[in-house]
Amino acid sequence: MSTPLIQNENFVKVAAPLGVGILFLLFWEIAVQALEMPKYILPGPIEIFKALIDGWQPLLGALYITLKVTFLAFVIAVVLGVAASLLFVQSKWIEMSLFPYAVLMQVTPVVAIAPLIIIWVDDTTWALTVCAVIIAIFPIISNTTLGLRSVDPNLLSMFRMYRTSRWQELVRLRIPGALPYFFGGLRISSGLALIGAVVAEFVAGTGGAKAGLAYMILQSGYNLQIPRMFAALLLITLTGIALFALMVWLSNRALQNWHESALEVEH
Amino acid sequence: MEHTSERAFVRMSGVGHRYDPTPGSPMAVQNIDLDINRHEFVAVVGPSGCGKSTLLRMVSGLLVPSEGTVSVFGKQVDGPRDDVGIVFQKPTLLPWLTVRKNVLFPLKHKFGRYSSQDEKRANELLAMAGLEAFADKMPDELSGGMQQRVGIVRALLLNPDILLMDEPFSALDAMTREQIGFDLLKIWDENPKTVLFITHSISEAVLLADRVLVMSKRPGSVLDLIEVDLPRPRSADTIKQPRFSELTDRIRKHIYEPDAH
Ligand SMILES: Nc1ncnc2c1ncn2[C@@H]1O[C@H](COP(=O)(O)OP(=O)(O)O)[C@@H](O)[C@H]1O
Ligand SMILES: [Mg+2]
Repeated sequence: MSTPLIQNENFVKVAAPLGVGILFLLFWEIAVQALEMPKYILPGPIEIFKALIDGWQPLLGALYITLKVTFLAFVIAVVLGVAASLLFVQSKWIEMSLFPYAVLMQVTPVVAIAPLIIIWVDDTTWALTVCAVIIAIFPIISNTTLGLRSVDPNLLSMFRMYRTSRWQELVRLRIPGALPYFFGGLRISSGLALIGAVVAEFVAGTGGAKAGLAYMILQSGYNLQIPRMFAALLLITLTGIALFALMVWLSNRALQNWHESALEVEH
Repeated sequence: MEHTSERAFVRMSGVGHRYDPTPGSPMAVQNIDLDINRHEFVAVVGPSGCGKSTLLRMVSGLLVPSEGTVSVFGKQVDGPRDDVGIVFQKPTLLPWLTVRKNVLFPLKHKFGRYSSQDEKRANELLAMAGLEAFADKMPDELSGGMQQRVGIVRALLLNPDILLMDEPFSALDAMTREQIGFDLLKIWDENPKTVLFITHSISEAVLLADRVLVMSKRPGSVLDLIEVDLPRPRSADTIKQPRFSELTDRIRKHIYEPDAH
């Protein structure tokens, strides 16, 4: 079957993974029904979809909480991360003194420090946000710092020939040059902010009105509401994909003139 | 040359440099004495690593020599100057600006704006370099040779008295390279300037320059200074003249049999 559509690469790029997904779901549903799998062990896709529809109100509420923490953490990570990078490139000394602490923050498992943070920060939303920031900030710092530093030495010489101030060098050369790196960091960091928000909530295990998707998963587990557990999981995954797509779109918009990096994104 | 009676425009006396400031550490360049006349075209050849770029950076004011002095019109060079244009081996264009904006960037950068006259001159220079159709394109839409031309046009826009070029054509293929060399000579003829041109191509040096400085391998010092008495304007026919091969042979001897000297 060789239709012209098959030869269209863009079509194949979407259709092929979609086809695999549908086949997988189909196989899953058939297997679950054929084996008469009890739904508290492994529900089929139809059962999960039903749970999503039936429980949309608490699920959406939880999604909202998780999204709020994710976005707060992401924004804070970007602001603080960029500020740290700008500080680092001011001098080799500052970078050498502080960068190890950024690494320290990166390598310490957030699960291990989350209980402490939850004790120190009263408000649950902020406690979760702090945990997520700790996870999300590193790619911003390391990418932006790398971008600000990796200026073509000849361009730098040329700017010296124009007798530029450090400030002009930063604004007219280093910052525009760092943008592709920054957006690369943004893409990784947005996903990490979501992971941070979810992981922190697993540790915090807060209930009540302010519970997010992670708590929903925990609670559904206790109650053996496995389809709902899967529905919550599905929402987390979809959020992650949406975030990633948003970042790709954002960086393509911002870097329209940066043909090379815009092309890289598509690969 | 008719200029020799004038006071040397660029004067290097006893210039040397070591990157590692510890006394006794090896010199990158040493004992360079060279006077360049106003509007003279001097080429520098030498094995790679012999300090050609170091020498150019010292003339530009980007690098302060650890020995000797460089002066321009009697004034010692102690930092970057306004009347110097510089072109590097790789086209150092800002990838986020169009070709025209790249060319005008130094003006915009220095004075915050540029006049319509500046823009007209930019367009003229771009046309002279065969780039008028590409003025509104982004640098990465251009071939390497075109990007390099843009870099040269940018250096010329400020109409510097001194043009420093560090292996400007070495990333280009042989054919583009020869053409762009002749284009440079044409531009230089119309807007005379003092040129210090670094290359690792012996024939390119002889084809373009009034004099060729031959440097020894590291630590670089002067092996020979050769007067190129080939008539101008130079063209593809220049290469066929017997004198051309005599001159290139003389330089080749230095490079291949440095002890014969
Ligand atoms: N920034 C630097 N720091 C230390 N050594 C350098 C530096 N730049 C060049 N050198 C050394 O100085 C010598 C001359 O370099 P360079 O002027 O670039 O040579 P060329 O341009 O002739 O290839 C080389 O041995 C090189 O390793
Ligand atoms: Mg060099």
